[in-house]
Amino acid sequence: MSKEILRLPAEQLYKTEIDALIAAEKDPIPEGWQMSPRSVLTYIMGGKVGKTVITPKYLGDRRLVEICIATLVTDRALLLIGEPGTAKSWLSEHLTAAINGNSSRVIQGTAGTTEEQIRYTWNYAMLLANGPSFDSLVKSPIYTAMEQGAIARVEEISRCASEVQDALISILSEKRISIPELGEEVAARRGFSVIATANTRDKGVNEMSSALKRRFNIVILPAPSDMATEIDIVKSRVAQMSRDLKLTSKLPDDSAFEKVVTIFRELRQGKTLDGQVKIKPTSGVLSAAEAISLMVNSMAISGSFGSGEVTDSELAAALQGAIVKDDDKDKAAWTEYLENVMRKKGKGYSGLYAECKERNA
Amino acid sequence: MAEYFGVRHFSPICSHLVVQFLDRVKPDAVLIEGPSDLSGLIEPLMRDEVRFPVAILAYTETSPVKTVLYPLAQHSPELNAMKWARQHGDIPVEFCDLPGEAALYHALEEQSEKEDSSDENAPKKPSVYDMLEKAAGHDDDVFWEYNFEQVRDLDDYLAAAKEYGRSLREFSPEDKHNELREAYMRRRINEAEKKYGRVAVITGAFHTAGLENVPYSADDEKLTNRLKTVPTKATLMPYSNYRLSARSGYGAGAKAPGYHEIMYKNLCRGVKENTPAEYLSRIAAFQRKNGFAASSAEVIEAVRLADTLAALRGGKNPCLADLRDAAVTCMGHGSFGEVSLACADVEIGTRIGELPEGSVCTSVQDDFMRQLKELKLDRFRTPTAQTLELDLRENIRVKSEKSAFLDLNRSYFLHRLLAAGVLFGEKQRRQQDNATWAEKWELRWVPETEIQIVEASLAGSTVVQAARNTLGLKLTESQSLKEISQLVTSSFECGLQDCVKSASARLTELAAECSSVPDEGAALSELSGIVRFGNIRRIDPEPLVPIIRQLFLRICLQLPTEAKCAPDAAARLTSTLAIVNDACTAHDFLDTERFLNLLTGLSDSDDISMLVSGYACSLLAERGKITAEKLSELISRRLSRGTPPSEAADWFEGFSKRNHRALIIRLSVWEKLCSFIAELDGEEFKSVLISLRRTFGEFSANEKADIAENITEILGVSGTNADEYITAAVTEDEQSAIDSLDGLDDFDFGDI
Repeated sequence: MSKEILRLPAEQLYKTEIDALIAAEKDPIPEGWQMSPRSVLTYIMGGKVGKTVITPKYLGDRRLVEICIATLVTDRALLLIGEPGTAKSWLSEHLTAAINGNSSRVIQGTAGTTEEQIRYTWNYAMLLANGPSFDSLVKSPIYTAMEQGAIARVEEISRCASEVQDALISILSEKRISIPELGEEVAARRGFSVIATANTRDKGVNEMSSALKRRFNIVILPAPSDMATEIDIVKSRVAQMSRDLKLTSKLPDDSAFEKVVTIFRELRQGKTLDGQVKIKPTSGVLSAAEAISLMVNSMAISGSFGSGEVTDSELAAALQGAIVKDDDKDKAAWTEYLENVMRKKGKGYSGLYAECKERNA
Repeated sequence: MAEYFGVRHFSPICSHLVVQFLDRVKPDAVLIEGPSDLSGLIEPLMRDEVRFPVAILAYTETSPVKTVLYPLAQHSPELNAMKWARQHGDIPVEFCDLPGEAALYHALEEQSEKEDSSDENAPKKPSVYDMLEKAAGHDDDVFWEYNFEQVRDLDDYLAAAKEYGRSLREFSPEDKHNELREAYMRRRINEAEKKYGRVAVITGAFHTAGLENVPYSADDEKLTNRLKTVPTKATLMPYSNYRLSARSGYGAGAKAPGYHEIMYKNLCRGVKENTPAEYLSRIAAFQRKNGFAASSAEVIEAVRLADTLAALRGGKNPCLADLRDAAVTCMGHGSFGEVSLACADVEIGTRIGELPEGSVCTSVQDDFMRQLKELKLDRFRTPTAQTLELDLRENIRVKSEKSAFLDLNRSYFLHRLLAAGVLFGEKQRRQQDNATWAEKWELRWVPETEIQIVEASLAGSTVVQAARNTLGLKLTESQSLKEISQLVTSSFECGLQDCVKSASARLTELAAECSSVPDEGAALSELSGIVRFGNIRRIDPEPLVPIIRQLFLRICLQLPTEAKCAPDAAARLTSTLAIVNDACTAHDFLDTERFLNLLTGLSDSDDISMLVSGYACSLLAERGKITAEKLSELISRRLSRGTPPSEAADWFEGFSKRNHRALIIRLSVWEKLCSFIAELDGEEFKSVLISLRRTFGEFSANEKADIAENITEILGVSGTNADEYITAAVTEDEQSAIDSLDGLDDFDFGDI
């Protein structure tokens, strides 16, 4: 049985980079942090420290990341909003990894998340045997973060029921949790904060109350602004994931990335890149994240069942799955795109066009 | 002996420090970067009544008109230097840059060069500011604010500005024009030194580096001995913060005049650390005033965030970009859209400059004032809107011709202003459509009006000329018949006979190429209006007559083929027919016979849009040019089984569009309609019903009652037993028929 972990947390994956940044630290470090805000910025945006090259983690607007970090310095909570696949969770994980060296204090927001998971709950066996005491308390990630003066993450906060969201309000404004059962109160140490993420595209979510919104500084993460950035994002993440997952297939060549990103961008924007042709958009979310998983998918297919190289055939299969989400409308829109746009794109696309057409028939 | 102070235009700190600088230097004269031939305009700028921003405008006398602007705001360092000189015993202040006439010559040259060089796609060389942005990591506005606005000490500033100017020059490409400018400035400084002694020189930091330590040489003299110039004029003009930020005369530094005002105010009071809080509070105040929530807590959070952002980016105090980011994050919930209006309001501001009367000296201005007095309109020069009613007819109770046509001349004047782009008066729509002798205006004088007048002076030297030239320019640009016919009307309203002529000529040209009947109709309607009521404006409409004839003929020829068209196009054709009909009755020079023949042809034709055919038929009936037998025959044919029911309904719609009364009294029409409807089966009835509903929707309630009376007569139901008939229980057959129509209520009327 393999002992290796499928996906390492960011702080372990980039341990050398974090260590190098800490070692080279010159600026003042806020309380509860392990490096200065400027080093956090370098960690996220990339750069060089001594001899260590820091890989960029977030490719996009530097100012937005600056706002995020500055928000956390002022002990305000941070809310990242954006379409699916705009690197909200990714950014939040790396921020906590750099600031605290621990990105694991996470609450995953779901419809089933309860208030106890935000605050604390009890070990009932001990509660019955010994009565309420600190020993029988089961602390939530937020609770531990408050105790340690660290940052807790709340993923998909808008999926939680409103009463659960409300539980956060007092924590964020009072910065303390009271435990009436013990007649005690736990106050947050300096450095405590919360990074929450929320989706704009989700259906069936609970709108956040303005009281809660007011307690956050809100940063909206946009889709990658230009083609080159998006190709960069997809390429670097695919390379990294294929290393992590030990995929046997070779990394696809640049033209494959370009094709997929072009198709995704065009379908997302509802027009061709040159703005000449209008395109019927599909229902699926065609984000950079989706493109990444599509590429990884096709690498997995070709590694396990194919030639070990990502060909048009694998790409076509993966595209079909990503774009046509069990909906006749998507199928029609995809056919329309194939015939009106891709067929006219010239030689580079002809192989992919033929494969896609066959699969979509 | 000269002392140099390098500024960034509109920089609050420069403005603050330039006073200290002058106090220390105690010069005998002050030289400022600005057109040297316009030094005379400094004096009027210093008057107490002047409200900034104000600009110095120099423009070429002949077309193509080119302009150069030197805007000044309350917080301009140059202005503070002028004020200092005035307060210290009227020390001479002069501009030392190239004269406006030479600057404009260069501007013209540059334009023609640009037109000559065909290679538009040549990659633009990165400017020195682009390079700065690359090196510093933020743009030059942020760079300046972080590094210069925070300076407290004069010596620190002078040293920093010197280094800044020097580095800018090092990385800037060579520029012939700039060399000429600086040679000229050196010459002026040299002259001033000889004349006055100790001179303070206030120029952009970039130039300072090229002036200081570079001695005036023989080369400079040679270069500047014979300057190439064009004839120019210049004036002061009121300016606005909006214009400052939208198109500053200088390259940089005026994107946020409102914000700079806040900075300068706080600098003067010695509380410059208040600026971030003031900026953010003003944003919050704006949000609250406009119905958005913005709490003090959010302002506090925003101030803290801005501080941290500045620290993260390497500034001591937050700059505008930090403050805006903080406002977006804390008050705009992350989206700029939510606070964009507030940002615009606070950063740019709505301030508008003012100049005392008489100090603005364009000839248009003079002309405007003169006419205002002459036409007794002075009392309307107020910011509150006032209404003015005009009666264009000759006033026969007065003696002089001038007062007899006072209102007409007023109307000319106001229309000419409109044409020249001066929105002093707004023409109101009148209730009574056909009272062409009456006009209603709303007049209002705002500072923007003054700016517009100065701008109008670029088009001509009097109001009339400006209007004429603007109309002429529009005329050459417009391509559609409709636009041009509107221009003809405008020229007419302005009382510009020659414009009417040239516009008409253009109209004839275009009309020959036009193939759209509705467009021709629109033009015909405009022109016909002018010819009919034009003499009230005492302008001879005779030149328009041939054009009207031409348009009329074209429409008559095109209509029979055009009428084979879809329903929506048919609707436009019926309005064209109405226009031609009106024109035909109004002008006896039109060939009525031809029009009647056209109508007869249309009404008798079976293969055109039935809507048009019906409409033509009703026009004929209205004019009494169709015999009763022919009409009856047509009605029978249109409403008979042979015609598809929907077409029959269309025909009836067209037929009933005109004179409802004449239709109602013709009992035979209703008989035929009744029998037509009775013969329809269920499905056919449904399709016809929609268009019938539409048709009868245009009838008034009284008319409908009369129609109902007609129908009772036809059905043989007398007034007395009608009640019985209506209140009787619905039979089963009827009920099922009604049920089958239920679906119609769900009918999507958007499709019609």
